[in-house]
This record gives sequence, C-alpha cells and structure tokens, in this order.
Amino acid sequence: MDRPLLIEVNDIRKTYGTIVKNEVLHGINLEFEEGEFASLIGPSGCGKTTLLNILGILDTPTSGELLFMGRNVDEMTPNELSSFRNRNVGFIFQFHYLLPEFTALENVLLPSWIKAGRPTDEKRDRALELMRLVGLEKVINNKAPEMSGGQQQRVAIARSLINNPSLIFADEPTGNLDSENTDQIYGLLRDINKEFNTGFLIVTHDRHIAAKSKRIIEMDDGNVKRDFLVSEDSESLWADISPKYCHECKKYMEGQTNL
Amino acid sequence: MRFEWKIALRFLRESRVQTIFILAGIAIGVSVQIFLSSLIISLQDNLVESTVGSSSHITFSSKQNDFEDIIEQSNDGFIENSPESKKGELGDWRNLTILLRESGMLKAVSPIVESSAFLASGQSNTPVIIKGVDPNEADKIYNISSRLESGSLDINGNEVLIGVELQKTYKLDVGSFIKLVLPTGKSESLLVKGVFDLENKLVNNSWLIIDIDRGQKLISKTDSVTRIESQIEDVFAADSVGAYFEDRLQDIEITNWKDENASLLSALNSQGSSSLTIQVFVLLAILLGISSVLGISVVQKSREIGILKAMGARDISASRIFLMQGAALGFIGSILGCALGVALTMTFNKFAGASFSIIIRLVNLVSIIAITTGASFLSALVPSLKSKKLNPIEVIRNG
Repeated sequence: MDRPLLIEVNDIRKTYGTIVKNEVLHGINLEFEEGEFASLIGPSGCGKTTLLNILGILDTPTSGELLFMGRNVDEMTPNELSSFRNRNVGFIFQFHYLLPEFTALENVLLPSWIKAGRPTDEKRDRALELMRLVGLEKVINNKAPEMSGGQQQRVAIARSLINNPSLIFADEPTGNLDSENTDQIYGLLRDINKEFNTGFLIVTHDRHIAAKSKRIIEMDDGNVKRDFLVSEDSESLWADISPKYCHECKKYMEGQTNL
Repeated sequence: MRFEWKIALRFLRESRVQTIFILAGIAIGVSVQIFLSSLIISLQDNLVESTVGSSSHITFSSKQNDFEDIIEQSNDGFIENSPESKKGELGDWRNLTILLRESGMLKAVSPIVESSAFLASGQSNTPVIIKGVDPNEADKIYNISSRLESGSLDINGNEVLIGVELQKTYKLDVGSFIKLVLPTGKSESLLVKGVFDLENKLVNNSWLIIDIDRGQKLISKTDSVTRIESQIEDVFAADSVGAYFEDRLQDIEITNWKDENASLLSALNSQGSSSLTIQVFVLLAILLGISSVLGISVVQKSREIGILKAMGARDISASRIFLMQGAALGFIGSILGCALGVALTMTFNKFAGASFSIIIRLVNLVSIIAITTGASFLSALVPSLKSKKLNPIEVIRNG
C-alpha cells in the first residue's frame, strides 16, 4: 500500500500509577494509512482501549512518539490538541455518550459547533444528510432517551462524521447491541469507509466482526502480537484468528468431526 | 450565540426542578434585598425630609457674637434687644445675599430678621417669634404657600401670617388684628393676612411672619438681618457646600443641618449599614446556593463534559459552560426577584398603612441585577474549575 500515512507510532509505552508502576503498553510500533479499515482485537485488559485513546490523542503516552498526519502530538498545546481532535478525529464509544439534553440532530451537530465556536446553519444540511445515511430520518428531533440503543449508536456514528475527520476510533461500538444491529452498524461503517475514504480503527473482542475488516491488529498483554492484512479467503482467516475454544468448530468445518 | 451558551442554557432547562428551585431561591433573596433596601432608603428620605425638608440647610450669620445664645434666649422670649446683641447681626446682608444667589449652589436664599415678642390679648401675653422675611424666598424653604389654611402669602406693611395654633387659641381669622409687644416695650398692631399650618405645633403656636422691610423697622431699626437661611438640592451635601462658603467668606458663621442633627444622621447611618449587612448575607446565601447546585451539576454532567472534550471542546469551554450557567441563574433569578420585590413593596404600600410609601428606584433594581449576576458568575468559579479539570479519559473509561 502506498497511501499517505495518517499515524506513525514509535515505541509507545504507557505506565499507570506513581507508587506501584504498572506498564500496560510495552513499546508499541504501528503505522496507519489513510482510509484503512482496521480492527484492534485481543483479550480484556491487554491495552486495546489504552492504545486507542492514545492514538485518538485523548490520552498521552508515558514515552514514545506519536506522529499524527505528520505532526508530533507531543509538541502540541492542549488547545491545539483539542482543535486537532475536533477536526481530524471522530469517536464512537460503546456507551454512545450522547448529550441527553439535545436532540439527535443537535448531537450530530455538536462537533461542528465546537469547531465553529457557534452553531451555524450550513452544517445542518450535512447533518441531515448523514442522518439519512445512517437511517435516522424518523428520529431527527428525538432526544437520546427517546431512541433505541441502535439508533443512539447511529447518532454517535453520524456525529463522528460531521467534521469529516480522517480517522474514526470506535471502542466496542456494538458492545451492547444485539447481533442484528451489530451487523447493520458494521455494514454502515464499511460503507462509510468506502464512500468517504474515512479511516476506521475499531476495538472489538468479537472475532466475527474483526474478520470483516481489511486489517487486524491483535494485541496481547501490552504488545502487538500480530498485525496483518485480511486476505480474500475469509475461511482461512476465520481459522487463523479463532481462539482455542473454537478449534472444535474448526475441526467441524474441516469435516474432521461431527457435532 | 456561542455554543457554550447553548449548552449552558440547555443544561439549565433540562435540569428543570433543580433550576426552578435555585431560581426561586435567588428570586426570594433578591426580593428581600429590594424590599429591605427600598424600605430603608424611603424611611431615611422620609426622616430627612421631615427633619430638613422645611428648614434651613445652611445658615449664614455673623461671627461677631455668640449667636446661639441669643437664639436660645430669644426663643424663651426674655431677651431685651440690647445694643450688644446687634453685633451678631449681618450688616452687609444685601451683598452677601447676592453673592450666595450668584454662586448657583443654593436653590433658595432667604435673609431673615428675627426677634422675640409677646402677643398681647387681654390679661395674658404669649411669647412669639417675629420673622421678617421676603415671603417668596422664605416660601422656597418653608413651603408656606402650599400649607396656607386661609388667606394669602402676599404680605406688606403691617400684614402678618400666623400659625394655626395661634389662630385657634385667640380665635383669630384673616382680617383680625393682633397686638404685639416688642422687646423694646413698644407695641404694634398687625393685620392677619393668612394662617399657615407648618405641621409643627411649636411653630404653629409661635411664628409670626411679616415682610422683611417691616421686620427691620420693628426689630433692628438698621439695615441688617439676623441671618441668611438657605436650601440646597442635595441635602446631604450641606457640609461640603458649607465648607465651600466657609473658605470664601470671612467673618461669617456657617452652620449646616448635618452638624446640628448628628445623632439623627448616625442613627440613619447605622440603620443603613445594618441593612447593607443583611443584604450582603442574603447575597452570600444566594451565592452558596448557586455554587452548590452547579457543583452537583458538574458531577451529574461529567459524562457530557467528558464527551464534549473528547470531541474537541477546550478546557476553557468546559469551564465557561458553568460560568455561564452561574451568570444566567443570577440574571434570570434577580429579574424574577425584582418583579417579586416590586410586588412585595406595592403590597406593603397598599396594606401596611405606613406614614410613608416605599419608593423603588430603578437604579437600585439595575444595580442589584448587575451585582447578583456578577457575583453569581463568580460563585460558579469553583464548579467551573472542576469542569475544566475533568479528564475525558476518566469519564470514558468508567462508562
């Protein structure tokens, strides 16, 4: 791939605690190109979310270097970081995090308000278009508590897109959605990726989901264990990233055993 | 409108019960402030008006004699108009009067020649005070014309205005004659031209007002007056205006009502400062209320603040949202409080049956709104700092 680099990570470490030090990231090296659709997988507590927050410049690494669109994040002031995040990064979280005081449309518009300093009319059309894209035409003026979980997550997706960021970080975006909604949301993220060339980095523990990505970054205990592109042969991939407990089904699929 | 305002106001609107409670608290506090301060000010005005509204604010007399003694004695009616006492009179009063009028600082300048005398009627003599004045100038100080029971202010020659008490005692009326025995022993006959009621029994019972020319002929026999009385626009400037003339006039004794009513003024002052103390504590209670409500709100809204920051809102924006909420609560609350305070005052004026009306000044309302809004803004500082320091990671990590 020879697309421009969005993110370049050199030997990033993260330590929590001051008295008892607990290093949760042990020197991560990564590159992320424009328009990639990647999954970040790994067992609980392996540092996925910590890495995601650092890449999304919500959190700062204890050591190491993060270049985001060629800029060293370390050299930016807090205000620069805020505007940089506002313009270039989108977030989708497991718990949606909509502002319950605002309607769906206003929630979608929030990042644009922050960007412009004040609400503007021009962005409204884009917001409505995005809401149509994610299938929210009917709940435009509903407040967060008046929407289903799936609808709220769609609002969060539209919100992450409003400022046209180059990269969207999603932390377990379907973590508390049912399987039908999960499939729809992932389909949507893939469509957005194709249509707008927006990069996605998605933290998930659902390997079925990960298998639909173009790239999988697998972490284990604070290290990147594997980082590979997904081949067209999804069956071999399925086998490749299946955890041990799935070996039985692997055997079944390979015709070695009966259920 | 900045987006922080939009968020601040929406936070307030959506936390409806909390907002209504704190607004009610602010409104009640502010209404008490308005009622109390207006009551105290009106009461003070009323007291000052009744004290000095119809008397001389600054009095000019001669330094050459101990004039106070003469007044005291003459009030008792025992003084002989001896040659010594004449030394206390103002000989150069015409120039002084012109000078005072031309200074532009005095709204009324009234030369007065004064003496005690007796009103003789049958067997009894009643001590009275003759005041020779220019009726039009004296009217500006004493408001005689508006308080005439009968007759007119237009006095010439032997015509005299008497008080309503004297009128009752001697069953006099406009057109009656009274007989006056002067300190010199000479007696004079005067024609009653009008009857006044200056709302003071002693005055109504003893003052006889005649024309200044006639007064001079009766009393001093020279072209001099006893003193010059004056009034100024702002009664509380009496001491400074007095000092101004003191610097410029020699051999003139200048007294002002503030010096003569020191105890009244100190009572008014302490009343004013206790009212101020109460207001400060009411304001303090309001501010603590706002601060604690917003402090709770920061905790309640920490998820929202965290997500706003994650989306790129600056720390300063997060703190502004709460400062704006503080200011908005203070502003809206104090406007409601003004309405409530005005209603309270109108109710008082209508039903309390006080001898005076409470007057609410617009400047008072505006300054209370400004002070409350500003202070509420400041009271939001602590919550706003909490909001500023909030780390989005903490919120997102803890769900």
